Formats: sequence, structure tokens, C-alpha cells
Amino acid sequence: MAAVHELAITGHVLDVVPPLEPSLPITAPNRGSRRFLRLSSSADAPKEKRRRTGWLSDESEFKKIVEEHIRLIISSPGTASEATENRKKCEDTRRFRRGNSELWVNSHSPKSFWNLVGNGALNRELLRWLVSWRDFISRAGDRPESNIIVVHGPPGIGKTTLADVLAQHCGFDTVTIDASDVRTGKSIGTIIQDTMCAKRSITSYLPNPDTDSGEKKQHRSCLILDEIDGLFQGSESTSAISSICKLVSTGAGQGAENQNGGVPIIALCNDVYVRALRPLRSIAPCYAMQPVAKVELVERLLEILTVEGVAVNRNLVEEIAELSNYDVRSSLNTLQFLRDSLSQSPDTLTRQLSVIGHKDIGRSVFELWDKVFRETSTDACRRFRVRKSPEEVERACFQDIKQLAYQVDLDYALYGCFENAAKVIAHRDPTMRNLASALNRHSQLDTMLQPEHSGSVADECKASVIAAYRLACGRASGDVKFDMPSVAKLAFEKQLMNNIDSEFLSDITSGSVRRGMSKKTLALDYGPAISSILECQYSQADSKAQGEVTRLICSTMMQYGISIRSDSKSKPGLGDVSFAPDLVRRTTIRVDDEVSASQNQSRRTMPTEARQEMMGSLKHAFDIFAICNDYSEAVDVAKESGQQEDALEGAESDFVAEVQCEAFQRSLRGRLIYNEGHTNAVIRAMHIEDWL
Amino acid sequence: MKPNNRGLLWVDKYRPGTLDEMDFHLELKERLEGMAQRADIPHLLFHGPPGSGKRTRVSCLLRLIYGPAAEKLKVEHRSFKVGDPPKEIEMTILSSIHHIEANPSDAGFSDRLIVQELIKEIASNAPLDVTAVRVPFKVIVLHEVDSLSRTAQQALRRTMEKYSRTCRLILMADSLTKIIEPLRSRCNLVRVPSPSEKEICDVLQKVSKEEGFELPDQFAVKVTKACSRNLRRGLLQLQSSKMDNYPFAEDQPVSRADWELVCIDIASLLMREQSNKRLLLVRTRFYELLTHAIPADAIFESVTMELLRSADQEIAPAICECAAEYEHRLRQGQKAIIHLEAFAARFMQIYKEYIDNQYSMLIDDD
Repeated sequence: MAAVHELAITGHVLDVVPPLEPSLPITAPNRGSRRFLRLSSSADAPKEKRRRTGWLSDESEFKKIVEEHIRLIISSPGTASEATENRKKCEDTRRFRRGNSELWVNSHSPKSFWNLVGNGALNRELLRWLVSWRDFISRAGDRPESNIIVVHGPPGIGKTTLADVLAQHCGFDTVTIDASDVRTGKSIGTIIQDTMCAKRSITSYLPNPDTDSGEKKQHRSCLILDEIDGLFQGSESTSAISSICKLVSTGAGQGAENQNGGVPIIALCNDVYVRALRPLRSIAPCYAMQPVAKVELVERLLEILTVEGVAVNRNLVEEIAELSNYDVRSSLNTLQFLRDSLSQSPDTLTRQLSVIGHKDIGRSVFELWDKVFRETSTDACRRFRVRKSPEEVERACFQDIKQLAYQVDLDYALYGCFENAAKVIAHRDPTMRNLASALNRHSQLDTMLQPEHSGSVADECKASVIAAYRLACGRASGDVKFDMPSVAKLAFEKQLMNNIDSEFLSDITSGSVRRGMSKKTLALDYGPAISSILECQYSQADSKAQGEVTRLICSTMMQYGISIRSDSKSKPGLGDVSFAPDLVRRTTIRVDDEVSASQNQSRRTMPTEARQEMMGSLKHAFDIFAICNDYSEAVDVAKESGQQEDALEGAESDFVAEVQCEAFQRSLRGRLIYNEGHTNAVIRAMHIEDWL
Repeated sequence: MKPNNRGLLWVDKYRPGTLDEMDFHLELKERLEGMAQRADIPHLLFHGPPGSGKRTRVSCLLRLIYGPAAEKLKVEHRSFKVGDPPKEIEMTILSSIHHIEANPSDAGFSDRLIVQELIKEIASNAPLDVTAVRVPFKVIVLHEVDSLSRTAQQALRRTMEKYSRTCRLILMADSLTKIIEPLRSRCNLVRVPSPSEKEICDVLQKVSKEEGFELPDQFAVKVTKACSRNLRRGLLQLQSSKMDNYPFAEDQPVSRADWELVCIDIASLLMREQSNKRLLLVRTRFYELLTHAIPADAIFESVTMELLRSADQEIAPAICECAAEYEHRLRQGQKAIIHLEAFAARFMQIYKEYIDNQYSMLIDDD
């Protein structure tokens, strides 16, 4: 058995092995290892009593220790029986550990607040928040500011564990909704309502806290929304999130009235910047959880290994922790998997590690771009820790970037390089030589990239291009902001042919083949000519004849199968490509002459203020549309917020009209709009993105 | 030249329907007529610059061979399941009972499979009643053979020999250089040169007479100069100029296609300032053009020509060299924008260096 380290703190003793006396396991400060806090004062008290009242009776004294030792500010009730049960648990674990099939991850996960590893400040912050909730519910304190908090961080660092432990610590019952549950807005609403009601009905029966007799537990519920980023992806996302937001805000209203409302909600996610979570982010405080520090993690791992009776080299554990990017779960799993071979020779182990130890996490593209564009060679030297010749460092960087590139979306990263290169090195490339050579390399490698190539060859090429960008334009100084490559362009480049084919050239081909001409000819000669001819015809016709011209235009376009966007206000001039397809907005024409004419008339003459007002209300309506899944839901939301129902109605009718119009256009195969501007915004209900 | 009901555009309205209506290349007409009379044509490869009338001549030839039935065309969207693993490729095919027209280069890099599949399918069954028909073979017209990939051209080579009994191929290309030697040797080459400026002028005048409007010689010459001996473009330009402003003013510019204007704009952007910021601006223009389905090589050509026109002659060779280099890569590579961009950056670098040199020489002289 390991030597007993004893730390005397105001009469209490920290043990490495669980003492026979009742004790409380805690995490040693700045170390990951477990210690057991023996309380000298409570040692005298009879066992029976202690079990019943637990730490509550010693609260003031306990507080003192905590303040002194862990510098924790808040009081903790702990769980009453934990200390005494602790020893039994330990014995159980030891007895079963040989034939135990349970995952170490589960059997060794922290069971109490004092046992958590890392993120001390954050843990205390959250505990304070939950304790204030407890106080509020037992009517001992004011209402906490928010009833939902978001904790985000990489996987495997104990977010769920933290939430569970916190709730248990403060005596909350937990209701957990994770990705495996039904996750529509409605069902989540029901769950939240249920938890609130349950609490309310039970609290009314509660005895006075002073006469609390251990038998009757106070029912307090805490809602844990696990994996909300994954949970709310897809079509249900907006409704679910909006219903949560709604509940949070209405909960606040009730709380003010009857002191009872609200449930503390802990939301956990990996990536808080997912689009679906945007509304949540604005109303909930977000806490970032960092990976556990290396020292603490290694210490804790070693301790677990000791408990399991496996002797391991410390360096190896460090390596495993490093490989997993300080992911507690992953490194524990690796260790358990390697349990039997841990005593083998280091060489074999290293080989095994290279296969299984890696945690293949998605690295951020920003990290990559940072390395490509910003890292100086001195930094690189420092990172590789060795003094090497410049060539060697360059080579190492090259390899390193390639490695990193494999962990991100290659196309995306490459595009980012292409898009950002010009901007990032602008201030130190007056001759443009660097940029020209970087683009030259990219172009060179692009020729090697053939579509027939299998994935790995293509990936290798792409990674090399990224690394080549570093050679040509690395070492930029200063703080540079990277642009995300615009998705539209990316998609466009990714499937240039497909996209255009479907949008434009398919129209052309069917028309063109009728006349026997190639796409190229159409795009180069016919398209521009037809568009300008038709446009001239249209603009020269007077308002009466315009209907006739419109008809002519449609029939011609049908013949040639070309979609056209024409702008009657501005003539196509320098740099104004105005023939179709306009990939950004699909525009439409009302072919019905009279309707078209009258509508245009009315729209043109509409006074500006009225138009703005209309736009405002429409915008609101579209916002609602964007959040809700369907029309009926949108109306509900609009009613609740008590705003512009009629605007919504209007938007809806336009919405329907647009769909019909689109269908009609499709059958016609010709599209044209004139008078581009505010008027189309009304018709353009399909393009809600434009508003957001 | 008789107008037909083929639409609004003069270029289609006044397109000759028979070889007799042809305005130029009369010696070619005789050769084609002779071929049609014998009703035994070899594989043909029409080549010549765009707008010189290849397609018109081919359709006239088909009409001569098969009679009016060759003009009754129907459009088919067919999907082919080819390759391993099987992939579905959609193809638009134009066909009459005697012949079939397709543009296999539309299929991108699976053009090889299309060529194999399509021709095999058409050629493997001979016309039903050989005795009843004067011509015992079908014709497959393939457009834009020069943009077929190498592998597709190789695939074509064997098929042409194998099925030559039941079908003949008529290939069309802008330039011979992009067609592999074996294909060229299997075909009877028919060069259709661009019409001369005078011929274009005559055609324009003829059309104006038919349409009944006044076309001053001056303006006709102007259009001829602007269309770079591409008759199709010339007619379209004339029509849009007329729509733009009629009667023609003395100093009226010929209306040009908007993509050309953008290319000119790009060139002037490149000339006026050389900086990374400017490059980003140019990039958006390139994207704009590409999204409007303008082929990258057309952009390349037009920008380079414009640059050569305005840049100093001393650096012209350097510009040509790098343009050639990147154009070559454009053909080999996948993503047009990268090569266009690389060209723009390289040009900026060359031009900047040149200007800086000139400047420092000036200072030295002082």
C-alpha cells in the first residue's frame, strides 16, 4: 500500500487511502489526486446521529475548513450519508475490480463535488448559482438572475458529470433530456411544465426545513439538457430552442408572481456557436469549460490505476493524456483497454498507442490558418522544442500543417487559404511576389488533382497545397482576422458544373438543342444579345404595349429556354452583368398583364413612409416565420407577442402567392422581372435568408 | 435568303436552310454537294473558328442526304447508367429518324463513358430496311469534340472503326490542335474558315434589306470590326444595337455582350492598380463571370487581349508567356478561378516590377 500522506489542516487530516472513520473525498488543490478529509470533530459523534443530519449540523465548522483549504466561498450541504458510505464503496470496488466489467469511466467518475478534477473556478461559480436556486426555492433567498445556463466545451472533460454532481450536491432531482429523447418544442415544453408542477405540488406538503427529518426529502428538480447542440440540429431545432426560450422567459414572469416558478436548467453542449443555439445564447450566460490541466489529469489517472492495481510508468500516462488532448473519458478508456499490456515493454506500447491512443477530434480550421499564415519560424522552433536548421524547421512545419490539415475539412481549409491569402499578407507583400508564387503553387497542384483520383490522393494534394501556402506567405505579423470562405462560393466551386447546369444551362440546353447550338455559344453570344434586345424592347414600349411585349418576351425565352433578369432602372453598363441566371435571387414576372401593370403602378406610387412601415411589419412577420416551423405556429407566436397579426396574414398570402407563382414560372420555363427593388421583396417570401 | 419562322433573332431567322442559300465558302458548298449526291460520306470533322457556319453547313448536308426528314427533330433527355460503380448521367440528345446529335463534353469527366455507351447503342443496330432507304447508315453528330477529354477521344477512335458500316460520325470542333492525331487521321477534315470582313458586311446589308431598315456602311464596318469575324456575334450585335438606338447615330458604339464589358473592366482594374486589395476586387469579378456560365477560356482570352492592347509592348512577351502557362493549367486543372486568379496575380507582379524599373530609371536620368 502506498504511504499515507497526511496533511494536517486545522485538526482535520487528508488521507490518501480512505480512513476507517467517516470521511469526505475531495480533490487535492492543484493536483488531480483524491484525498479523504477526516473530520476530527465529527469523529466523536455517534454514528446514528451523523447519518441522519449529515454535514448540516457541522455546517459552520465545515465552512471554515473549506474556506481555509479550498477557498470555497459557499456553503455546502453535501449529501448526508456520503461520507459514511464512502468506505463501503471503496471496499466494494476493490473486491470486484478483478472481474469487474464496468467501464472505468463510470466506476471512477467523480461522485461528489469535492471530487471533480479541474475547472475549479467554473465549478464553484456554477455551484454558487445552483445553491442560490436552492435557497430561492426553499424561500431563503432572492430569485437568481437567470434560470438557464449553458456550459460548453470539448467532449470528455466532464460536463455531464459536473451537471449531475452539482444537482446531487445541492439536493436537486435531475430530469435529463439528451439526444436520445424526443426533442420537439412541444415535448420539451411538456417536460419542463411537468417538472415545475411536480415541484410545486410537493413543496406545498413540505414540512418546515427546521424539522426536516431525513425521511422526507425535499423535492427540487433541476433540468439538464444534455447535448443540446446535437439535440437540436435539424428541422426541429428552431421550434425546440424557441420553446425553451419562451419557457425561460415565462418562467421568469411566474417567478415574480408566486415565488415558485422556474426550474434551474443546465444546458450542455460542445459547440455553443451552432446556429440553432443563437437565440439561446443571447438570453443565457455561457460558460466555457476547459480541458483538465495535464498535471491534474495525470495525477488522477495514476491514482485510478493504483486503485485498479495496475503499475504504470508515469511517462506513458502522460503520453496517453496528451494524445487524447486531455480528454478524461478518452484517456481512461484507452488505459482500460491497454490494462493488460501496460506492463509490456515501452516499445510495443508506443506502437499500440499510435493506433488506438489518438483521439481524432475535429480541429478548428482557424488553428490551421493560424499556423499557415501567422506562425513565425522562431515560434515554430519553440514548438518543436529542438534547435534545428531552418530547413529542418520548415520541413517539420510542412509535415505538421499537413497533419493538421487532415483533421479539418480539407476543401474548406484550402478555400480559406485561397480566400484569405491576399488579405492576410497584404501589408508585407508590396511586390506581390509572395502572393503570386502562392497562387502559382495552388494552380500547379490543381492540375495534378484529377477527378478520377481516389480520396487519399486528392487529400494528399490538398494538404500539400495548404502547406505550400505557408511556404509562400507564412509568417504574417499582427493580428489578422480570417474570413470564412463563403459557403456559396464553396458550393459553387465544388459543383460548378452541376450547379450551373441545374440553374441555367439545363434551361439553355433544352432550348438550345431545339435550335442546335452549344451551351458555350449560348452563354457567350445568345444570352447577352437576347437579354439586351428584350430589355430594350421592354423599356421602349409604352405602358399599354408592355403587356404585349411581356408576352413576346416570355415566348421567346421559352423558345430559347433562357432565364433572364432584367433591370429596367439601370442600363447594363460597365461591370454590370445583368443577364440570367441571377444566382442570388430568382426573380419572377407576373405574366398577367393587367395585374402586373396595376401592381407596378400602385407600388411605384406608394409613398415612402407607408412602404417603410409595410416593410417593417413584413420583416417582423418573416422573422417569426424564420423561427417557427409552420404557419400555424407562427400565428401563435405572433399572437403571443401581440404584434402585427395582419402583417403576418399578408406575408402568408404573399408566401402562398409566391409558391404558386414559382410553380407557374416553372411550367413556363421563362422568368423575368423588371422593377427590381422593394416590390420584389414583397413577392420574395421564399428568400427568408435575405432578411436574416 | 428567305426569312423563316424560327424566332425573334435574325441570326436564326436568316439562317440558310439549304446549301444553295449559302453566302460564302462556295467552293466548300460544291464539295459537300458532291458528297451528298454519292450518298456515301466518310467520317467528317468540321473545324473552324466559332461563328463561321459549321453547324449550318452540317445541317444543310444532312438535309441533302436524308431529305426533309432530317429536319424533324425531337429532343430527348436520356439518362445513361454507366461506369463502375454505375452512375446515372443525364444527357440531352437531339434526334431525327436518320441521325442523332449530342454534345458529350457536357458530361464532364464521364464523357468517355457516354461516348462508348451512346455510339455503341446507336451503331449496333443498323437501319431496319436497308433497301428502302437510299443511305444505308445513320449519322452521329458530336459537337465540341475538342473539349472532350483525352480518354473519351481514345474511346471514340476504336468505335469509329468498329461500327463504320452502320454509322458515320460527323464531329465538330473549334480547333484541330486539341484533337488527338489518330482521330484526325480517321476523318475527312473539312475546314470552315471565318468569313472575310467583306462577306460579313454583305450579309449584314442583306439582312437589313430583308428587315427593311437603313444600315449605313460605316456602321456595318464598325460591327464587322467588333465581332472579330464571328458572323453569329455580328448579327446579334447588329440586332441589339438596332434595338438600342435606331436610326444609327454617327458615333454610336456597337453594343457588346456584357461579359466582354466585364472582361475589359477587369483588364483596366489590373492596369490601374497592383495590390492585394485590387486582386480581391478582381476576384469578385471573375466569380461573377463564372457564375454566369462564361467559359473560363473565353475570359482568359478576352482579358489577355485587352491587357496586351493597353500594356507596354516591352512586357507583352512576358504577359503572353504567363497567360499561355496558366491557360494550359486551366485545361488540366479543375477549378478555373484559381488559375484566373494566379494569372491576375502574376500579371500584377510583372507589371509592377516593370513600372518600378521605369520609375527608377527616370529618377536616375534626372
